[in-house]
Amino acid sequence: MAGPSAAGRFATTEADLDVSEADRFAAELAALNAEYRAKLALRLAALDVLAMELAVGQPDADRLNDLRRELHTIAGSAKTFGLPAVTDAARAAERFVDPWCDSGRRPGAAEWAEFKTLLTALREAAKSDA
Amino acid sequence: MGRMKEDKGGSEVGRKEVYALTARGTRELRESGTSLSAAELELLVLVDGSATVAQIERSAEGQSAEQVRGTLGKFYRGGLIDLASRKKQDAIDSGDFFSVTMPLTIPKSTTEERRREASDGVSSLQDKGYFVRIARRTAGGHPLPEGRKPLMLLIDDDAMLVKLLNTVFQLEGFTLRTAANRAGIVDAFAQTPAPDLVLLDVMLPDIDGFEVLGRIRSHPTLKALPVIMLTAKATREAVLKGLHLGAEGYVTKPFEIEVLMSAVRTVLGASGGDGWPKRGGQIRND
Repeated sequence: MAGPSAAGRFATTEADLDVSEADRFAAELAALNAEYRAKLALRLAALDVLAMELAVGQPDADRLNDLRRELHTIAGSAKTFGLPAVTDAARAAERFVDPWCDSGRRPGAAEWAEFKTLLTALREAAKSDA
Repeated sequence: MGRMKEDKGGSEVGRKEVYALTARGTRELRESGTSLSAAELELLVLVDGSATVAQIERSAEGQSAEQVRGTLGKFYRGGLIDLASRKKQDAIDSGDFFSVTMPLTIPKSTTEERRREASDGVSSLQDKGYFVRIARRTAGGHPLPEGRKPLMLLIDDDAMLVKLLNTVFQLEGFTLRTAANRAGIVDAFAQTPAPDLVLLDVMLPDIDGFEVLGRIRSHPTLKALPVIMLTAKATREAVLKGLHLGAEGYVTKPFEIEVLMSAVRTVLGASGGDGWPKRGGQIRND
């Protein structure tokens, strides 16, 4: 068995997996984790911009769905890349947005303010997981 | 079907042989003006590229084994079916996947059984992160291929997740094909060979994963394909919907790699020994 590698969070438990292959695999996974984290920062920044535009602009159901969809995607993958707190925070934000998308109702200023705190929590989660 | 040759008996089809529809057979199923009888049409539907003639004999209701073999021989001579090992895979043309309109075959189980299975499924999802249907798994519907790596079709629009699973499943001895949206799905099913297993996300940009599952289950040549749903919605309703449409298993998102591998192994009927693509490796998230 190749134990956990310092290179990343994943490791094989295959009994006959040779060490060099295990290390190479762990290195690939570590690189993917790093890439995910780097891209996550950009995605969170884009979410902030989208939320701000939606809060001050005209109602746009498609863009609201884009917002929910991105939160859903982050929630569904972050933990797999070793970021469990990000999954939880993204899930909370997604659930907050769900009723807006399902009802087509335009959220008020107070709701946007609350949503902004959820996005802040999401950014903090990304820092704490890292 | 006027070009079919005269029936001279069913001696050509062996009981252990596996047949698949040709492009002509697929068209015959889709055309409203078919000259086939209802019993013949029912039999043609059962030719799915994975069931042996003996299995088809058992599945065909109200027809003797001799009648089944006779009809299959007629199909074979008429060019509607061919040996699955020899058949050109171009029967799955790109237009087929979202245009075939066969009625969906609903598994024969009572509503109560279905509800109980859904409750068990939700419990399993909450406890283990995955759920595999025992009844479908043990049916042995889709054997792993010989002479090539098993091909997995991953339908998911999360590029990073696709990248990760590509790395993981290549290590496990799979070849991966991917699709992220409706057009990609059509393209993926148009390529040859057909996949051996599908991992299917529920929430896709321009189509619902459950609709894709329904299309697979109602497709003449893809209906026996094992499908594992990747879903963040581990609700009883979602599981019931998947059971109704014929999913082999569920894995909740986000998943641990080892949990996904366990579900894949279980659905393919491999415990790490015979039949597992590479050598039964396990991957965990430390």
